[in-house]
Amino acid sequence: MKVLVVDDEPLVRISLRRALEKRGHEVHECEDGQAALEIWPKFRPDLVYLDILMPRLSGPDLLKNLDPELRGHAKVVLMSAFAGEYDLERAKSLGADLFIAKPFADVFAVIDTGEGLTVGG
Amino acid sequence: MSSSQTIQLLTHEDPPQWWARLSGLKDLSECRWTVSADFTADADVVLLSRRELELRFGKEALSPSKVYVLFDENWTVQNLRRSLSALRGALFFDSAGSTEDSKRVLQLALSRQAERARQTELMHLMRTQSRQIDEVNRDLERVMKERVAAEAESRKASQKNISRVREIISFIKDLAQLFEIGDLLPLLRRQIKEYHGLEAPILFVPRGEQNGDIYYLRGSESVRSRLRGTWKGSSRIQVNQTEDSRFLANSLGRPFGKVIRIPLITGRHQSDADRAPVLFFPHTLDETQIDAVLADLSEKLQPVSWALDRLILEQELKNTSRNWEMTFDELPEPIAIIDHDGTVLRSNSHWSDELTTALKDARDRIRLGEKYFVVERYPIRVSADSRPLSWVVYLRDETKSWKLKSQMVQVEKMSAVGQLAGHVAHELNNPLTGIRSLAQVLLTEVEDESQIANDLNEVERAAARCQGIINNLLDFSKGAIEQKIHVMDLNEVVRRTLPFLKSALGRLRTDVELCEESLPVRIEPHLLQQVIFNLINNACQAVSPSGEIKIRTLKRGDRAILEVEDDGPGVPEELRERIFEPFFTTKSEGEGTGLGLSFSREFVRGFGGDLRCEPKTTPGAVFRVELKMEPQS
Repeated sequence: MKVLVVDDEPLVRISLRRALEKRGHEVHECEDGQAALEIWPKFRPDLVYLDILMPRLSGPDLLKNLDPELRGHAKVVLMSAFAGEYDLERAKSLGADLFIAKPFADVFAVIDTGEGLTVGG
Repeated sequence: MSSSQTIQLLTHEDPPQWWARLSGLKDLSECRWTVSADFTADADVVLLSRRELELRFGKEALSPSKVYVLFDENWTVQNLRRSLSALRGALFFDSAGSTEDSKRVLQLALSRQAERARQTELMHLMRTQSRQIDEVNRDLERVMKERVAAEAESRKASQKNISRVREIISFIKDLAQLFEIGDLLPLLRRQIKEYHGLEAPILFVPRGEQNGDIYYLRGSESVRSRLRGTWKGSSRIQVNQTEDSRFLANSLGRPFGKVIRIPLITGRHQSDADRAPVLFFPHTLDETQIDAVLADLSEKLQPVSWALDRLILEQELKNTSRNWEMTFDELPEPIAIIDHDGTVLRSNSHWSDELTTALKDARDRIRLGEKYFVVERYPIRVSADSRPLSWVVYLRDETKSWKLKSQMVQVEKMSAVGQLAGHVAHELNNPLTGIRSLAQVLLTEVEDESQIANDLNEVERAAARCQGIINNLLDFSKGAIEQKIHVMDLNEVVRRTLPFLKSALGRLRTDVELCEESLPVRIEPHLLQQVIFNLINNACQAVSPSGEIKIRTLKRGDRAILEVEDDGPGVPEELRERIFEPFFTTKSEGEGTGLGLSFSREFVRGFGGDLRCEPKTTPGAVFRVELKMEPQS
């Protein structure tokens, strides 16, 4: 499936891309929400790993500005290092499907969780 | 001498017979002759014969004022002696002798009689005069007596005046020595002791518009009672007014008969004589007695008025100054009046000698023990532009607010650090997440047990450790705002705190000995972390640059104990408690706030435990945190 990784930290993007590609997914990286918004219509992702705090356009703002039709069936996993301010409920109210606090203990577990979302939904 | 002297011929015989015999004598010039048998006849010279004498002797009284002349014809020595002894002082002549002789004798008798008469007259005169003198004397004596009596009287009067003046002077002296208004009554009672019918005085002193004090004697005790209600005064002395008797009866609850009422007016009451104190004398005197008593008392009343006025003023002054003193003492903070030498003139009960000493070297702040004062000085000047005579020094107790302020600063600092740490942690967390995840991904792409795999494992573990530290730091800094009290293992708190102390512990030998059992305590973790951080940090500073620090936890009964021990210079016994006072520090300026230990103890006590500096036999210091353990869940 097609996975969009949106994070301003290159190492996070690289590690996620490598792990996802190992599982055979097609991955596209964006360094902020604005870039993601621009690529979305062409790429049409099934799953999105979306950081919250980013320059230009933040994760929540991207979700707000995204045309629901354009989003389609795409699942969104919100990620943040400010774990205290976000949780699953908050993430869902913002239009995301899951919340994962950074730092990850195991990157493959994160991939598993994301895959689980698309299978189940 | 009288020219009409009479010679009496005393005979009971026939006179002519004699005349014949005495004829020669008859022409004795300038005298009259009488003949008579009467002895008492009026005559100056009595002529009688010896025989006549013998006949009459012893039978008739002889007048001593007369001169007797005896005659006989033949005198013998014998009969002459006898005649003369019968009629002493008599003259005699011999009738048979010459007429000349007889005449001479008669002449002598006459002149003797004249002499005698003159003497008698003189005597008489003398007697009369002496009587007159006596009379004058008596008058004189009377006058003298009267004078002396009057003199004595006036001396007595002036004596009385003097003693009266003396009495008044001593009375005034007694008045001057009075301390209490009530003491006036026994003194007055002594003064009126002499007037029967005048009873012990009662004194009424108006207080304010509506009240008054009434003083009376109960036995020798002076009693005061406070009266309420309006009081109509008068500036004049009043006698036997029923309203006065009624006033006393109502005030003292017993009947009163006749009463003299005397207002005690001084200069202060001139404009308002109705408000003057009043003296009442119950009495049983009649009107004339009253006048006398009043006249007598009048000169004592003025001194009494003055003395009473003084006592009232003194009492008011005393009350006022007592009110002031009470006000001063009620102030919760020390206040004193201090002269320019720094001598304390007056102070309230919160002042102490230590403060006086401390004030000498202080300008605007004083620290004494645990107390912190801000010094406020207000000058006392006689006039606006003169130099201050002294100062009112008020020490505002700022201990509490100072402590609170410091605590607030600490908390603010902590929350600022927390926020900063949060940001830093976030910034670090992102790349760390990448590093760790990438290492995990790469590990799947290399051969197990290869050199690269081992290196990647190291990278992954280091990243994991970093994450742990960052999470800890986040908890620690976040705590000041968010963490609540909860039960936690003391060992865990120590474990979480130690990483922050790595740089402080540096090259020091550190021996950590944690109890194998879990030690659940009810605490706010970040606060206890601060305490542990403080204690270990202090220990590090104490032993620096080299030394050993022992950190251990243990269980003693139901207590969880944490000890931080160092082998530094230690804490002298006398400072072992003082180091917990706020702002007490042994570190040099700028190195410590002097608050670390005081806050630490406060936090620990807040959790129901205690923090002390324990005695130690070997060099160095031991700080022990003791907390009550929660039951194991």
